[in-house]
Amino acid sequence: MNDKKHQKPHLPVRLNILFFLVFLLFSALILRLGVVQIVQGEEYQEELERTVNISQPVDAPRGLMYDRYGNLLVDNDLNLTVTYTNRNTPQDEMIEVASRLNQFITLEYEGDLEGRFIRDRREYWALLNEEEFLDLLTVEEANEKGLSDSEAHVERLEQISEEDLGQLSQEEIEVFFIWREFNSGYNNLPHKVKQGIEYEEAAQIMEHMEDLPGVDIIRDSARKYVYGDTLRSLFGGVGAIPRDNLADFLSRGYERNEEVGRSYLEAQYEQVLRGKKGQIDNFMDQSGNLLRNPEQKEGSRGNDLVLTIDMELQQRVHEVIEDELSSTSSRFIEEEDAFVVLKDPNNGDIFAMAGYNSDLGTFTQAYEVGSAMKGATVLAGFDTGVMSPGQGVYDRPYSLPGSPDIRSVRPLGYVDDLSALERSSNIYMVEVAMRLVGYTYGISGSNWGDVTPGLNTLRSYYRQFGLGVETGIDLPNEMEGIEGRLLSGEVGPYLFLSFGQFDTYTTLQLAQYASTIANDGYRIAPRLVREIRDPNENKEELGALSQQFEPKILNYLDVDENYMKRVQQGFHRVVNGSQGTARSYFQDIDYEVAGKTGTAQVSVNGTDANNQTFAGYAPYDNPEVAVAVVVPGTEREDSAGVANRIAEGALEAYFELKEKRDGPALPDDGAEVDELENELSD
Amino acid sequence: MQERKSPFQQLDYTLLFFLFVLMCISLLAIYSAATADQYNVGPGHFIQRQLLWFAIGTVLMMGAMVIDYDFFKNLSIPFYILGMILLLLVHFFGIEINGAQRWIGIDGLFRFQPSEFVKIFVIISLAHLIYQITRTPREKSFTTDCIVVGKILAVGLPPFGLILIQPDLGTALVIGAIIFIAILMAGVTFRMIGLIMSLALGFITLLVWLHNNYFAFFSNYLIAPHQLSRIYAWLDPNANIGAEGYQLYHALQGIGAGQLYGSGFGAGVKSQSGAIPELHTDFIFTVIAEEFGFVGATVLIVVYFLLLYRMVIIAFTCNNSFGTYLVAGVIGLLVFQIFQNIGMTIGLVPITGLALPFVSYGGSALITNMLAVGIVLNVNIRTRHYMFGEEE
Repeated sequence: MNDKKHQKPHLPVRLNILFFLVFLLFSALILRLGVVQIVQGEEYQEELERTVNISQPVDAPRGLMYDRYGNLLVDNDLNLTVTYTNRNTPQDEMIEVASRLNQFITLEYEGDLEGRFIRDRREYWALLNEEEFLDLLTVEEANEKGLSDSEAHVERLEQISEEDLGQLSQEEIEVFFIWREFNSGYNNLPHKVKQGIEYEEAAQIMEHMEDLPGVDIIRDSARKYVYGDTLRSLFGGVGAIPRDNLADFLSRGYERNEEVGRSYLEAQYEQVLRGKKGQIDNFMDQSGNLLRNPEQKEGSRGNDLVLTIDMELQQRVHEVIEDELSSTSSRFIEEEDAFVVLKDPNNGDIFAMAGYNSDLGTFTQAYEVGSAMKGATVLAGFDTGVMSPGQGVYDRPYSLPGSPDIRSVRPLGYVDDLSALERSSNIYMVEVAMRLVGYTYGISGSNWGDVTPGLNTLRSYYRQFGLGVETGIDLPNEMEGIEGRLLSGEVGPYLFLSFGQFDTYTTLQLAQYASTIANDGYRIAPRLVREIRDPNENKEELGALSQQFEPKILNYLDVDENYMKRVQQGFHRVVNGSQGTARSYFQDIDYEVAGKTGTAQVSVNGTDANNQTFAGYAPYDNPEVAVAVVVPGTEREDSAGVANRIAEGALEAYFELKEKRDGPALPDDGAEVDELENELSD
Repeated sequence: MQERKSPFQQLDYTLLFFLFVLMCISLLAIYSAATADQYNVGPGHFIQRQLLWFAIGTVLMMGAMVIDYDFFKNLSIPFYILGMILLLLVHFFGIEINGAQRWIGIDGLFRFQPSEFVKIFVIISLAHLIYQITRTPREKSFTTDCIVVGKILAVGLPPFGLILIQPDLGTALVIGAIIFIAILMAGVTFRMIGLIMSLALGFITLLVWLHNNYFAFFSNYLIAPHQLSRIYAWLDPNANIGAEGYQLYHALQGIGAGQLYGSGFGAGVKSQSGAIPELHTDFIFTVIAEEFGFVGATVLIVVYFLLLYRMVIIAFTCNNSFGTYLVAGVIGLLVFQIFQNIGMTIGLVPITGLALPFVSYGGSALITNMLAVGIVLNVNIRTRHYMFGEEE
């Protein structure tokens, strides 16, 4: 052996370096271990000892809604619901579970699938036909094209034809809908797959729970509408949190999978109606072992709303509208429609708000209301000083530069403020408008100048009555109406504004206007909710009062007391005067009505039409109900008086019910559900 | 060749004693790990198998001592060729498990992982190579250094590459460590070593730069998603719970909670919770550190250190430079695995799938490491023989 001479002098040095390296690395290990175990050890120990509380929220039912007389309107029905919790479950397992679940429940889908859920159905097809799917674009082809995995996936999906999708059997399509629901929840949160399943179905699923990982049956509640469709749309809808508002709701302590009010009253009073969730606390150590029995804190129903609505009156008003529209005399250019609002002029309570097609139209649809709003113009004339009570104008057709001719129904001759309202003089109103901009009829040399200041003045008065502004009702999506746009140099529209044929207003605004006149100038926000009540075990009785709403005065028309009196007197004469435009209505009643009729000449799709309106209140001396009626788009012939008749019918219903007040029978409380509940908890 | 002492008398019993201590620690740790929530076959199952592996490993270790290691020189080229053929077989016909193609064999009957044995082959081949390089004196210059490094890389890189693309980053890095040790031992100038290390550092910097500026390219061509998330997890274990950080987060919590003296055998809250995947294999150190604390973990590390120290001594005293190179290679093999494995469980380095030598449950890694120890013992017993005739 000749090893000795090959021993290079560098070797011991290198070995020392190697050994030093080993030493360094091991020192690093021990140092780091010291940091983790000794320096930070205590922190880790504390973290480890902390018990984990995994709490499951338990749904609590939403608050109920009652009418002003304590009749239950919106109730809760207990439901059995299938949920699925996606725990990052692989898709093939999910399909497996979906197809097993499909043996017990079916998600109905009405109609043709073609063109619907294309992306989802393709994903589903791809999962069922993995090999064929990959053949649509091989990995090599994808690499050549330089596509990433996800791009290649999308490319393949797009190649799946409608024919391929057509291969799916009926059963596979049923499974598809369940699978689709499985995928639409949030991870690790139960997502409702089907609500309101039968008890037998629930029992079967429960028996097979072991084969259905992620599936669960829970009890939850769904809204039940005691009066069917009456006011149904106004109550609003309940559903999943809109994804756009998710962050907002989460910040207020909602769960992702919670149901919230999505529209109208349900949305407006979400905070009140929302149930106080119960909670099951599972205290566990770090290994996930339960330390003690789960603690259950019962949730409680949300607070109840007592509405201002008189449900019986609401139904009666609907009948009045239906009777009137189905009678021969009223015909419409297009779809027939009519709106009524009955409210308390003194505090804003809405007794009834009804639309022939939709109750929502009373505050979401605006129309030109015609002469019904002339009271506001008269008052504007007084308060600006261009007219004074008792002062008259000579009503005859006006031929004006820059405007179509203006006339009343017929030349009325001399009219003062009272008779101008009684007989509905357009000329009186136009005089107000003309004087506001310093124009005098018939005097040569007088010219218009800019009418915008006049326009703004009139509108500012109208708004103080609620015309053209938000009324302040406790509902979302209220419409303000549309302000007409005055082209420069145009005068006609400004003049037409003075008798209600330029800007548009909602029926609710018209009712607020009538109320403001009735109560001597207080504009009060209309309201649908009077009180908030604590939930009561017995649904037939109201719970303890939690909050009562005070009337909300939005503004006060600070005008000479006499001015408002004159407008009220004018309104009185419309109904009771010898020449009043509504004198032939409201006969044989033992209460005095004051109001104003209106006929706005409009055009519906190029056809001449009238909007028939009425705004008024009763009794004249001591108003307790204000009424507004809008019947839009009637034919010019034969439609006169339709709004007056509806107003008459509505007021009659009000006073009749007032006389003999007894509420509708209380609804059945659904004993079945209680039984079911007991069975489930057994 | 005359022998004055029987091979048994010449065995390095100190080294064997440390190995025995490691085996005991291994069985203790595996027993404890196997009682954790995620296993339901019971500790007996794992202990029996591990004992079997130890037995097989011991036999193979003895086997590795039978032939004089000097004869390995003749075997280095056939071994190398065999290794490459096996790796190519894996590449083209291998069995794929969990997205990595590392095994060959008949599915269901038997399979083995050639990359394990390739580690040994590479150690032998590189030892032989640098033995030949250093046998003839050379003028130390940058050029000759480059030639030396080039030769080493020419031998080391093909298996490195083939293992890397399986993909098996952990084993590839082990090969990388062996190559680095070979370069260090080959006697190239420190300037050269400095240059190589700067190049490596530069490469890592380039990767980081690509990650920050050309993420799409980086993530599509340079790194697998799971590797990237392992790095993220390493950088911030708390923020990545749920992904790769899960394992590390729980491991760190367990180790930290072990504090100075540990929670006691079988009483590691975290280890027993079932929250740490691969507890009995790659994350076995967690059990030791949580249940026996800083003291116990340090004892383990010191035993490793003493084992390696014995090997360094053997390398020092060996009068055949080929033997020294062999032992150095084995040191590189073990040090890297120990450092990488413990380092990853305590958040020092990112997670890669490497077993803790002699302690983790599992046969193939254990057998390889015991074979490697066999080579070291082989060098040792042949060395002693000549020591008597020498005056140091």
